[in-house]
Amino acid sequence: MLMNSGRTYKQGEQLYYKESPEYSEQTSLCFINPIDLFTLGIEEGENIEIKTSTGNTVFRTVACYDLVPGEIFLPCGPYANFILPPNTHSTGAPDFKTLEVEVRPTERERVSAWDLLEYEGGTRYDAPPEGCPTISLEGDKTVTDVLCPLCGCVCDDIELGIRDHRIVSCQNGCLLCNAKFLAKNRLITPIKKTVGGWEKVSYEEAIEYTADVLVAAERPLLFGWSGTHGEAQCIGVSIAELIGGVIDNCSSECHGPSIMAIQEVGHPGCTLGQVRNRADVVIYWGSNPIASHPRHMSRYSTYADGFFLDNSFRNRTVIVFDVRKTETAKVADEFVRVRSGGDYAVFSALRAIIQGKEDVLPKSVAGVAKEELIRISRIMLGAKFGTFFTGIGLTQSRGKYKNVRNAIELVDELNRHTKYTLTPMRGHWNVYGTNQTFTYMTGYPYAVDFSHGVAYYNPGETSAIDMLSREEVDACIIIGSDPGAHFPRACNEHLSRIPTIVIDPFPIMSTAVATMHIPVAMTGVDAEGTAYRMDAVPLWVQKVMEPTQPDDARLLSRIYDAVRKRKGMPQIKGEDAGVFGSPVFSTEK
Amino acid sequence: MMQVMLEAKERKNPNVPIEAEEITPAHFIENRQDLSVWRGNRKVPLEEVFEITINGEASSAEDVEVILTGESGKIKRVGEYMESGIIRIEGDIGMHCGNFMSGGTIEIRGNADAWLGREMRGGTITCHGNAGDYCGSGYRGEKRGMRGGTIEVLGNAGDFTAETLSGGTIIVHGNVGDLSGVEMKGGMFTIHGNASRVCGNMTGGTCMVYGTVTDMLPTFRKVGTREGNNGGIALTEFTGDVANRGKGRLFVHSFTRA
Ligand code: SF4
Repeated sequence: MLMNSGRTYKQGEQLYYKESPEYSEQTSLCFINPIDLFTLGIEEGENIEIKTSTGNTVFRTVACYDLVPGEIFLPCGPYANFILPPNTHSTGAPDFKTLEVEVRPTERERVSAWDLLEYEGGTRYDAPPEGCPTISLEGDKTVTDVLCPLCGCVCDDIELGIRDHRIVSCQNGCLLCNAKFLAKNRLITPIKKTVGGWEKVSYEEAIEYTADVLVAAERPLLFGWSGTHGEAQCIGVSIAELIGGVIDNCSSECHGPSIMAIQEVGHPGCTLGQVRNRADVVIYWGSNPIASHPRHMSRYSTYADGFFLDNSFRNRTVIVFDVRKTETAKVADEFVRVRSGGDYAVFSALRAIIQGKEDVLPKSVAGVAKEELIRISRIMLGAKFGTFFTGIGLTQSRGKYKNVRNAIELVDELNRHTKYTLTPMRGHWNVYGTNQTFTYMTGYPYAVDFSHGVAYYNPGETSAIDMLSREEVDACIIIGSDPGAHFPRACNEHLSRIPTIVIDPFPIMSTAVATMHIPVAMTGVDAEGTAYRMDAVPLWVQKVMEPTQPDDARLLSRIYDAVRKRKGMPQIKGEDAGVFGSPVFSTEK
Repeated sequence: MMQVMLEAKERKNPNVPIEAEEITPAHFIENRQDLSVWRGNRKVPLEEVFEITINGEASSAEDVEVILTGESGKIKRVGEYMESGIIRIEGDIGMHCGNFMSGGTIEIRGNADAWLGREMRGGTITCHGNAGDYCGSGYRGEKRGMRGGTIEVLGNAGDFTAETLSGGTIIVHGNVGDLSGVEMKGGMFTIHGNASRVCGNMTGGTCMVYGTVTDMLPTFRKVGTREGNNGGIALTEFTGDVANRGKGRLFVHSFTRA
């Protein structure tokens, strides 16, 4: 059968509670068409074993008519990745979509996410939650217009209630937002892996250890960055340059392919405000915002009234292209089901139709009838202002960036007739920021290799998943990301064999494969800095309370200083490694 | 005639890649003592990584033969910018072998990793095993890839083989991976085995597939049928990629639709 993996709403809600049984429950489900359940001779709720060339693990079935028979859908997370081969076809992103798998009924029970990480060589961290280290100097208060540091929408209208130095209520946000703001299971002190367990250490020891590891390494990798602010990212780039390391961010496995496509044919983009106020045709292609960006449709598209569009719900046409009938597809005006892996062909076909060359096409393309494509192309051409939102359905299925390139070339073609734009649905709140900061500091958006002292970029060669699965990395820092949950198994197995330092406010899956976890303040709660929304609009994310822990920028500055010291270089303030004059460094001392 | 034997020594961490762009015939003529390679982020002298034996003398790079033995599958960029002479690799070779090469010969007995002959201008590469992804391709964001010379792969080649090919010849005796010949602009690309979604977005050049193309793209216009010059295998001729107003020629023996 063909496997696709992706976001579900429930999985997203558990992102900051990964140690909980509920996270294991939500990421070990397998959505499957009832016809396939019947063929397998099992009832919904019974377990199946899914096998690939990499391994096998057990999932619980959930009947789902949104899928075509022969295709299954898994929530992204440690279970799906346990069976994911690390081959990226030299593009940096593995086959999270359109992967051939074997499915069979099983009596075996599911294991927990921690169990999986232990199979991969890790050690679970399941100490009871230690609470939250924040302090509210003003006492109890309500803070309005807070920015949500979760998804690429970076909504700016959140209202937080603070009592006894803790966030106790969260208004206006979606469930994902609530879950993140209300999470209190932070890690308080750095922890170091010992034989069979964990021990608390001081920040000083953690910083010295990190510097020692980085200086000794011949192929160090600094990965993550999308969960932290721009100022910290800049210091990260400086550290990478100093140690001759490779710095890569989460886009290499999500929208990196979109950027590779943009490097080939440009980016016909616009801000979300433009979409909200003008777009009368909105096309979601391979993205399911209801699960991944829950307020995207109400703030910027389907349900958002705009300056030139009142009664948006009636006057906007929403088209969804996807392999399964997602929640978003169900509320759209048009749903076009594309056969898994067939997007490239459909883009080509639409381009041909718009040029008036439909005669060349066969009767159907990737499961879509030619007449249907012609009809949809008329709707597209009828737009005054049309926009494409492309998701990881394109970047993680076969063809990867060439799918996005073909989408952009379709936009080019449409722009000969009317106005069209395209915006990738960036996942993390500041993943676009990583591309911005990396680009202005190094010239390249991600996967930047400083091993020769100059920046070199080649996803597939210098991207994290490829480097880890080739086992070339000999030390790794993970910050603002969780490869333990989102990387193929082979990568985690390698991480568990080398010195790996995790920098994150929460215990995460990657903690298991790390040798050290250093907790930091959380941007948007007790740390502040710049984030770039999915349309590249920079926003200043403020803190709502005071920290008792260093934030990412401060911690990284200390590491930067410690590395310079070891290299016998004159001591400059690590603060200057990043962006000069940034408020983080000028106000906080 | 000068023969340079380079035997890769055992390395403590054999997975850390070696970047060896200085291994070209011309560099040994100059009798340079300062040749070096990169091991991860460390620049080390050539002799730290290789046992070097030099026999004979030569006055021009044309008369130099470099022979690479030992564990060489992680050694990258061998023969980059090479202009003449011969490099023979007894085993496997790492990424970017023969990048930008403009003349001379590289022969690989084993398999080659990705980006074999990337942006090559001239000369000949023969790979007896399999080649990785992006064989004879371009660089990220680049409009044109290989522009001249010949790459012959006796085994299979990976995905995106001959991407943005704009001149020269690529011959693969086995199968090629997905989206091979994508963005092709010129040159000649021959596949004796099977392919999938071949030549997407092509604007020029010629591609022949003597096996089966799976998921043949819908935007190629059938022109006619003819016999290939490969033992008379029947071929259907297409032109395209129509989606890109392309005028490339694609010949396939048989195909299935997406
Ligand atoms: S849509 Fe995204 S940014 Fe907005 S509240 Fe939800 S998670 Fe936060």
